[in-house]
Amino acid sequence: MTALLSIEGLRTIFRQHTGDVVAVDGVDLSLDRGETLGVVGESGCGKSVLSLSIMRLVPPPGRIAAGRIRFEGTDLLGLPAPAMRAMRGNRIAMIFQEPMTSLNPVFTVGRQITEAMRAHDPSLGARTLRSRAIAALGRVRIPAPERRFEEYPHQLSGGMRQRVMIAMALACQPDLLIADEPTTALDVTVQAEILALLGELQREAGMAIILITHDLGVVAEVADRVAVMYAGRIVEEAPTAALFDDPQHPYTLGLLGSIPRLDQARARLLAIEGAVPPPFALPAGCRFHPRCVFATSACAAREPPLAALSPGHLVACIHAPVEQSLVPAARARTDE
Amino acid sequence: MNKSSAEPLLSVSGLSKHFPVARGVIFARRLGFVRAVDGISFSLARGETLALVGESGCGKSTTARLVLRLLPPTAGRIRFAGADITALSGEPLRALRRRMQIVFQDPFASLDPHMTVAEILEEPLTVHRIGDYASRQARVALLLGMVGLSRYHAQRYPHEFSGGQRQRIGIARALAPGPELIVCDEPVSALDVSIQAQVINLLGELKETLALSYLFIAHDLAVVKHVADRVAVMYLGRIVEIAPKDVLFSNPRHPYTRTLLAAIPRPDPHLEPTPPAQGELPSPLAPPPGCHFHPRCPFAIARCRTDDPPLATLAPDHLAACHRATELAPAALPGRKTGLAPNAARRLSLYAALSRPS
Repeated sequence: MTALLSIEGLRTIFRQHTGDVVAVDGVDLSLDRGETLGVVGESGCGKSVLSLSIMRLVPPPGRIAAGRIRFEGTDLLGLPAPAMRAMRGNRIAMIFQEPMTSLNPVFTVGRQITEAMRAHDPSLGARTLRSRAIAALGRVRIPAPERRFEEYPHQLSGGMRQRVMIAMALACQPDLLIADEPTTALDVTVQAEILALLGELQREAGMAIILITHDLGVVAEVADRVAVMYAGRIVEEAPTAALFDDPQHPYTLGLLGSIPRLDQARARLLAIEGAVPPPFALPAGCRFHPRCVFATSACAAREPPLAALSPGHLVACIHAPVEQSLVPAARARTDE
Repeated sequence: MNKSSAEPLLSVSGLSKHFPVARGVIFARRLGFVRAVDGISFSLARGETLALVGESGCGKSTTARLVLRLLPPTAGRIRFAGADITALSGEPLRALRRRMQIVFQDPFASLDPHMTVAEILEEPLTVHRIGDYASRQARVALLLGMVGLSRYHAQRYPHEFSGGQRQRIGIARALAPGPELIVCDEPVSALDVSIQAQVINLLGELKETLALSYLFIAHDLAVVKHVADRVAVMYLGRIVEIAPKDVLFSNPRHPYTRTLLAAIPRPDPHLEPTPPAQGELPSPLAPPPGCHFHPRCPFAIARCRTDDPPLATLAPDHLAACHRATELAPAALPGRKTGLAPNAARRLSLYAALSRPS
């Protein structure tokens, strides 16, 4: 079975007067039907540019400089613009973090949902559009969808607006949904509802989801597989259980150590020193090495490849697993 | 730790803030009041961290502004270090502000882009007429060191710093006049995970070295569990449960506290996700009758729809506003004892051993 989506060597750059800024640098990923892939990373790691690249919606001066994005075997990067437009919404849909800025404040909810439906099938009549839109609102568990159809975005709560966005995204039953921080702006109880809703809709429709988030808790609950990104590259990729049970990359370890946990008391959080480097001033060698407690001189010498440590578990660290390869050397260093 | 004999640093009783809501400009018609804060009482001991938690619109930030006297209360009293400060004005109020400061959520919006870091940190000293020029410069250098920044950062502008560094500047500014109480209004929610941990650790260290007290406003219960001594849970302008941290997390008595705890996504893929709570926060303009939480409450009975439950004492330190507080079954979060997987724990302890102690 071929993968639904496969990305090879994707490189997205932003041309600046000071030179090219590489936001996504050599990313390989694949995704099966019905699968949920979590993409985790902090601001500036390239996770949002990755999702925009898949949609071919990278805003200028950004452009995709290299790589292939195959969707059911078709290279999206080679498609003419009208064919790509037909792909968006119909086959690949996207929802964003901030539902208020993604909805147009001067049109009713109903008009915005039917607009998308009409764009994809101009033959539909007003009555059919209306009943389909109300059905779509009902599917995302919006109470009284007939009334909400007539309302404006400002009349809805944050959770309701995100439901409307999901209803619009799912109106054409896409095979792939890209959700970019879909619950970050929402309260925890609303977040739990939206995540549960996405899970239900996914099971009903069998669509694949790429969930972009900074929250390891969200990933643990919903993703089948996780890719951890740092400074434009994937540094670790594994099935979700393997990532949490056997985290390998020092950056993944740092993220796990940084989050306060309900199930464990810690005197101090294990913060990662320093900050993410700006994409125009990336360090040589491993991009994480200036912040890495395990770093040796070899880490600065060359960039580690993303290699399989066990089937399905890829790590870009020359020292993984750290306790075997590194501890004697690191001990020696701290004793100096 | 003898709280009963020592007077609390801050105590608030029956505090309310009602905002009028009107429609129309010329012939304005009053629609009613939003009870943003609706008769809350709590106290904060010296050296203690009390967290106020709740979802957007629960009144936690309004409470912070009332305590700091940035907003006039509709009713209630605020006492600080033994004195009633509810009606303070003029010079005594200005003198009070030196003793209570705030750290804001958004480190991008709360620093003046036209001022250098040195000017930002010096301003509170000038306002409160603390020291002369030389001693103020020395204090700026000291403050930078306290929050983990370097002396050469003093001449830079806020835009030259990352989010985490800006929040450090915001903390240094709050520390400048030497306050006893710092209100932290969601100080880490705008920051990335790894930076969040740095700032949380910094706040913890400063509290120890400077003997500070924190009123910590947050929506993230995992962060709160890490930093707080006691926790007050707010819902629609009221405190629905208040207890020492360990009691609140191990034995929550109010159904809303349980809902919040269950909703936190936990970083453990082996746990079954808990089914989410139903419904949304009702409009604060027209809260439901009886217990405000009853439309969303899985334990609601007929009485909850008519009688408003008072905040009742369950144990000396543990109060909850629920008719059924004593009859609810213990609520243990599934898998709470598991913690990290063995491999993760082993590597994290190596990580910790190699981390530079700051």
